[in-house]
Amino acid sequence: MTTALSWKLKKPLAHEQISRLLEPYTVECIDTREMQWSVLDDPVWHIWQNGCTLLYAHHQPSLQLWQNNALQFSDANASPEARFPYQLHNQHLAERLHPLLGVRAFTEKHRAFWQQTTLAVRNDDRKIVCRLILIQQPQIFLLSLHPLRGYQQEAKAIRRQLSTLNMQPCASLTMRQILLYSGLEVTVPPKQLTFNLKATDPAQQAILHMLKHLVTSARQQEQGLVDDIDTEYAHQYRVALRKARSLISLFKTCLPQQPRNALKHQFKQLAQRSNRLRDLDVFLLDRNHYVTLLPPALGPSLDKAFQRIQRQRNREQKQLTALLSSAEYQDEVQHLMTTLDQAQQPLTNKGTKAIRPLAVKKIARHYRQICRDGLDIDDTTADAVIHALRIECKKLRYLLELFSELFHRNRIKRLIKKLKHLQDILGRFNDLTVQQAFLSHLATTTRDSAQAISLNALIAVLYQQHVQERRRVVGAIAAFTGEEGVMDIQTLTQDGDTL
Amino acid sequence: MKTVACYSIKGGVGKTASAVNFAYWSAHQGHRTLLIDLDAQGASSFYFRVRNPSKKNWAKRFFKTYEQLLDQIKQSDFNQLDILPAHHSFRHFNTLLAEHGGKTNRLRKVLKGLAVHYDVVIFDCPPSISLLAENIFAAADLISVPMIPTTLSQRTFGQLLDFFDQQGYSQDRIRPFFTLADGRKQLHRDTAATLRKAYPLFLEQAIPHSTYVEKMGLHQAPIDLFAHNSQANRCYQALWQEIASALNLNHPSS
Repeated sequence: MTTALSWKLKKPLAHEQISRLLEPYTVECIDTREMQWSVLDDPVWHIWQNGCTLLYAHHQPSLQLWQNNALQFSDANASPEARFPYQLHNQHLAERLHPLLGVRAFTEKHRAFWQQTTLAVRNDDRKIVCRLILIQQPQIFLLSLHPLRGYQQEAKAIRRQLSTLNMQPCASLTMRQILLYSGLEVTVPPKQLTFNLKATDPAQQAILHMLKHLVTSARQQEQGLVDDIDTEYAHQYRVALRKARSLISLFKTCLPQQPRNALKHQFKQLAQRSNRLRDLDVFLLDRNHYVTLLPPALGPSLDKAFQRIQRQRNREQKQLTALLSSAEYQDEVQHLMTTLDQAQQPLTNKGTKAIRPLAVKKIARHYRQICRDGLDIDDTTADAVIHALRIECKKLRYLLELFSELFHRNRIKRLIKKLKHLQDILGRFNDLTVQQAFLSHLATTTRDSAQAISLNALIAVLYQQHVQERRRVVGAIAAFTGEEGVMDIQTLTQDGDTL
Repeated sequence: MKTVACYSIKGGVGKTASAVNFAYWSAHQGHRTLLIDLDAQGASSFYFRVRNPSKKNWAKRFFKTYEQLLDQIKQSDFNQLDILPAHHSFRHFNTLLAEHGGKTNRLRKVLKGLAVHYDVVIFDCPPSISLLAENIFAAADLISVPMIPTTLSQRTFGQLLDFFDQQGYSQDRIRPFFTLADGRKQLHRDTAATLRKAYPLFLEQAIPHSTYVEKMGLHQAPIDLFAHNSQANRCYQALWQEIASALNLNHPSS
């Protein structure tokens, strides 16, 4: 198909008007329909950012995935309420969406309405030589010309005739473009939270400023948590609070003692309430994986155990929703913000120092700590020691992420990537420890012997994985704390190093 | 890319009607389809309302490069279906091919470049045994041969098979099928039975004698457009399905 030409019109254009204008060609209306579309995506617009558009077509009930302005997949059996790939009937569509979304749900971001009319322009032989598509939205009127291959001369002549109308050329009318004309706004949130820090900002001021932003960031997740859209809202809520707690702990000498202690307590209280929900979510997210670890015969009883976990999860979700919707919670958050304001005074000695050199010191110190702790870890090291190393890595990661804007972008990116690799392995190791403990508790508290058998079988499998994962931990630590890692830290923390 | 020739030594057996309906159903299934009208009469071009190219002596350039072919292609009124219309200079094809050494692979060579643009190419062939026909035999993955179930057709079909034998062409690609079949006629029934027994690669589906096939000229369209529920339409759709299966043409994924 040759390239279309598109225009914006000042007012709607009737079929009869076009017919008169394009004589001696004849213009026939071959299709007209009202269209109503929902644009679906996750909060970060992952689908859109990957060049795809997920739409629910209300006028022709189906879920559609578009890419390169062509319909790639369609699921006529998809419910308009579907939110996750696993809820779809079309497996190809589900498989296409899953890597784009991960654990995130897609929700309606925008609804668009328009009337679309397709006109066939025919020559004397009644052969279609081009098609015109009229799109009428509430405020915008669009026209596109679609020449047929081999009829360029006719298309040129038609274009000349159309140019007598009061029209403004516009970008090619792809599905995406039409949606944007309908008022769709795609606002991709930044990957990392930024605080607009300057290297010379006084530390006390900078830390409090960052804490306020982290509270705002956590609060932005509340509605999604209350609506239970997906598990990521709880996760991001907790990450923001964890970073805040880490910041207070790492820079405690920069804050006056009394408000600092109050802040510690308040942030801890806020964070604790979602602990159980998150643990249950993490477990349920791996449900399908656990099923594959056991013989099929144990499947049904394992399923019963998971149903039990799901019911616990639902109860936790309900409790948290009630809390977040309560006046008490609003007061609590307000009180936290007041404490943050109060922490501006008195000025501490460390708090008057520039933030960047302090951040550099902390990064270097925690890296050295990881190197020291890592040296002693081998196949026989107790789980608690590996857990302590994991916490140390988390502190370093938070430092690197929170203060990333004060360093060379590529260098910090590289360092975070290497640290993330180590953390992933430590995380898996820790998850296996936690999961075994959790399942063990479930197994001992159930009266269903079949469930207990399945759970114990799963624990046995996880134990074996735990042993294997421990060996990978040793290798990963060596890679991170080796010569290259040392160089990376030194390069990053050089004086005068900037973006 | 798969190529299908609608071929017969005899005229008036339904080659063009078959080529037009095959091309329509191929595109309808979602395959990018090109119908090449090799018959100077230009009947299949007429059915799709596509005019002959204005280029003089276009036939001379036909076998040069596939880009020359691309320049002359016209999009039909149907999604995924393009037409390379006939030209009156096509009547010189045999002469032109003879002037270029009488090779039988010229058509296959020039079509290679089309593979990136099309999944299916269908030839509407002129009725003859000639150098052009040999080029078609060499280029086609499947040679569909419409025939009326009569004694004369039986004889003509035999001549085609003999020709293949003499030239050393494999008969495996030949897929005959019955057209203008009248089940009320004993002769048709007997001839059909004899031929099916003798030649197992006959396609199952036959096209009945139908006024709707004749009316294609009136409507200038494939049958589906004006007689969707007719037996003839259903038969062509089923016949195309048999051909698609023989070619292992998968439905494009959606």
